[in-house]
Amino acid sequence: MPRLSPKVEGFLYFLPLVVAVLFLFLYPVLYAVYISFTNMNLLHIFNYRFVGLLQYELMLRQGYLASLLINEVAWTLGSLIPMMALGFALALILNQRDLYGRSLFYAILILPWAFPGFISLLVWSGMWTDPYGFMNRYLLPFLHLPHVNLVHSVWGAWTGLIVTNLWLSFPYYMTVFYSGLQSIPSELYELADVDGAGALAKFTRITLPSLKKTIAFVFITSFVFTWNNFYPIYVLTGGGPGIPSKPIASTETFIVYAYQEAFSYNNYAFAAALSIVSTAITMVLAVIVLKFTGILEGLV
Amino acid sequence: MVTITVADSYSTSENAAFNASLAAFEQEYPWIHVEVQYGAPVGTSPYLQEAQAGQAPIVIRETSDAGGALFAAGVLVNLSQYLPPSYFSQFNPTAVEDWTLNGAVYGLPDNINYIVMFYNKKFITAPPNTTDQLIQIAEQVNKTYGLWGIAYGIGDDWGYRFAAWFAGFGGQIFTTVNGKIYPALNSSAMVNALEFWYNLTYNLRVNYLAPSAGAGGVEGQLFMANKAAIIFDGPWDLMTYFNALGCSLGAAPLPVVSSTGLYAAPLIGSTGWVITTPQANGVPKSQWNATLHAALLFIEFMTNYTNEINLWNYARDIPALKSAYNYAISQLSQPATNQTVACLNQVMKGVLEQSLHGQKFPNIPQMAYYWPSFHQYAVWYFTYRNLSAVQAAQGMESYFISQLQANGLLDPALIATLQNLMAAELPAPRD
Repeated sequence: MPRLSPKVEGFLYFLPLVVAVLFLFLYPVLYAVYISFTNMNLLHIFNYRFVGLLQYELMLRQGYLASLLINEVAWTLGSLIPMMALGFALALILNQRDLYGRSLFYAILILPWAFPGFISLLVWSGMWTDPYGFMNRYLLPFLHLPHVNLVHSVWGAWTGLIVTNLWLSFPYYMTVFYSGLQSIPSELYELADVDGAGALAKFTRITLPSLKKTIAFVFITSFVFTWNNFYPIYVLTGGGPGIPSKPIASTETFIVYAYQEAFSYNNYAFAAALSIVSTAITMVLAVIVLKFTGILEGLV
Repeated sequence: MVTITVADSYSTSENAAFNASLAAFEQEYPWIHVEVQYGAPVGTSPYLQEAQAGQAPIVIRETSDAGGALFAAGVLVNLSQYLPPSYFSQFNPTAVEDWTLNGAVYGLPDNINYIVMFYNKKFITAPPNTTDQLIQIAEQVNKTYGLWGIAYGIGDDWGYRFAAWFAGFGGQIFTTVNGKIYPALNSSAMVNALEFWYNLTYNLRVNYLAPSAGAGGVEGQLFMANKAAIIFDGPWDLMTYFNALGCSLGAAPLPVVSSTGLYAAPLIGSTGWVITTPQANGVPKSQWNATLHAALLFIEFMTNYTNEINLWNYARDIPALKSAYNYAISQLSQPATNQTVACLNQVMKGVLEQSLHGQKFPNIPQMAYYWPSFHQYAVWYFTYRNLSAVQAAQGMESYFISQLQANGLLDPALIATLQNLMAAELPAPRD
């Protein structure tokens, strides 16, 4: 039996993964692309036909794209920046060598992760009820902060969404950054101490450069995840209040709007077109960030 | 032996009735095997996807609204082809109309449903008959007891609940121009209805706009916690309210709008049984006649007198069959065995009385676009408070039209005609 070349042999090992990826990722994407070029909707569920770029044209004519894009960026960056900052800050605290009760703090801090996200969102939905929920009845008045109403105020809705998402997600960031911090050799800090470096210098010259790839990786993956994060918005505000044709006049994002178009109004083709546009935007952004951070260097 | 698959969307209490009916059916028709999928959803989406794959259940218990969309999509069988008109005349005419699209009946109703006014007798001795009385009572309750006169849910189904008030102010969701259906939200009736609720909420401050409706929502929670005296909800939540408030619970029809003399008329909806087409359920041609026969027997059985009475007895579902409805009415007049039953009967009388003052549910595919059109602009009107009711009515109409056009449900050529007809009716925009 002739021996296979190492390249072919390597490819065969890789083949099951390729098949799985093709089936689980490419097939749905290609099917969505295909649907987006048809008129599949309630009245054309069996006899849909190819309509070219009609759905994309409708999307442009509706004039929602800019609003959805602005809302999407507000949601993604508005969530991501505080989540990463809080996660990083807590990771730095947990990483202190002389911290007493580190395991207990860590266990408490990852509690939000332990609850099913959907249940947490339902609980948060009740907590934001104005004026009866915990936030508006106790916490916000105690902190001398104004009431947050997710139904009557767009800013209230955004605030509620971002705070809730922060609570749901910070344990992930804290854990990833904490792991990254733990992997930095302690000798680097000891040498810096010998050289007389202060805390700020150690942070900017050792900690941040060592975590550069971790931060970039977390940013890219979380950016895509948050961009497509459906449940917080769907459960807490349903894309409201307000209307999607005006930027920041609602909390409607691509994924929520696409869901409503598909499953509330049965406009499958239009929803598919929305999803394709959203995916294309995230892919372009991801490529830019990957290139900018050089995170793939050494991997390919 | 013929097997039929059945998607059963009944609640737990309704299933007690359904299971009794199912056992009787299987005994009467031993050659039909029924595979029941309990806890099935209602709505179009799940069944459209199954239909596309030729995997839809053969029989579905569905709402008339979603059923209308499924029928328009070609997923459901036209029952008018198989059952004579005299068969449908046994049912409440509004219920049958709910299951009729373009003259074809596509489902058999097993109940009718609508919203009613629930009130707490601890705070309100007699329910309001008019909106003037409603305002007066809400203000009095607010001043005397320091609680909300009304809690009004503005969740996803706000458009469903608001349709009653819109009708009371003289409006209708659709109009017909040259035989074609057009939206009719941009009217003085919509403006007046919006301003009525705005006044109750922000000027008189007796209405709490609850972010979610029903017994499980904030609206229902406030009502059960004695923090709101009046809510507008459906009989599907009746037992939850009755368990919480007992004999303090009252029910009455929605009041007459004082300025028009018209009842606030809720949409009379209906749930019932439908049969899917072979294209949707994948039954081979060779087996279709036998399957259809079995499915027809099943849905006829499930909507017969005994089974609608079962649903009434077990779950207090309001029968759609005239004879069962009359039985329910007569039962309420019988001497009650104890105080609790007497109280519940009193509540049910109020619920049944509402059925005399409802409007047909427009179960046409265009209706799907009413919900977001109304909701977005109503929320904006109440949220920003920088949009007049006139602008909100115009906005919802315009959005409604654009959605219908985008989905091929509206002929653009005749929109100008419609706009000319509607424009004369509206007052000048508020600055």
